[in-house]
Amino acid sequence: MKVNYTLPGLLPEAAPAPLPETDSVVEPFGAYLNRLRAPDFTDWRELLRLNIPPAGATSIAPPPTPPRGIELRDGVSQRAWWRGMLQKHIREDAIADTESNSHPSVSRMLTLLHESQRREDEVFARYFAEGGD
Amino acid sequence: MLLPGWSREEVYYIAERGYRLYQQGRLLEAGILFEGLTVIDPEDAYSRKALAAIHIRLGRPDIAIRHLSTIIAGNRFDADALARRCEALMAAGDVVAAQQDLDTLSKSAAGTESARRLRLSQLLSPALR
Repeated sequence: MKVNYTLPGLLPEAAPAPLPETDSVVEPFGAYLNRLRAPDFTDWRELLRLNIPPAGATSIAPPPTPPRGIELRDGVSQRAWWRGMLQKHIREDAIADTESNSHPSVSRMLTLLHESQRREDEVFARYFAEGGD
Repeated sequence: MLLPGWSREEVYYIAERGYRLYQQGRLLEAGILFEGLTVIDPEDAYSRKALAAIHIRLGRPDIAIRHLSTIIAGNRFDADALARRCEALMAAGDVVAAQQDLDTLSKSAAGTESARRLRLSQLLSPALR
């Protein structure tokens, strides 16, 4: 006895007619893959878009560098630069104060920066006193 | 125009210190630095925006609006300042003025993205449309 296992409704259809030449893919897929480039980034922060400050009125980006650029210094010369800059402006502010020509906001800013500088100096002094290089 | 005796480099380094303080959440110290910088260079939009951000975070949007309005008075095409003022106005509850800033933003090419963001942020609020 012969058993027919094929259900009538599920008979495989005849092979589809080949596509005309105009509809065929012109370029093989492998060639397309060769055209793909790796993402162009230099830093992982850039890749994750962490360099873009979050938008909103309470977000601020780092300050823009001045058009003429800034002089790059090592840690020691940078601290010397800060000290020189603060001394110069504190002196000027004191002169302006005697002439009733000082700006309270600028004086407050200089006091804060000077205080911060003093604390930094203390930390460095302790570091060297404890045998730091 | 800088106050006599000050250089762009000095302003930059102080602004950078202010920025770092702000990132650390030391708002009052950052505010003191940026307030000084707005006196040294009244046209410096960066310091004013930073100061406005600090005032908004301290719950004083009215002072933020004053700083942002000064920037916009100098450059009415500053889309970023307009978007910030719009947010400050919303925080201050001045919906009509905020709507005006939003409309101005929508009309400028540079402000379209900010306008979209502000509209999205207000989706749950029926105040602005």
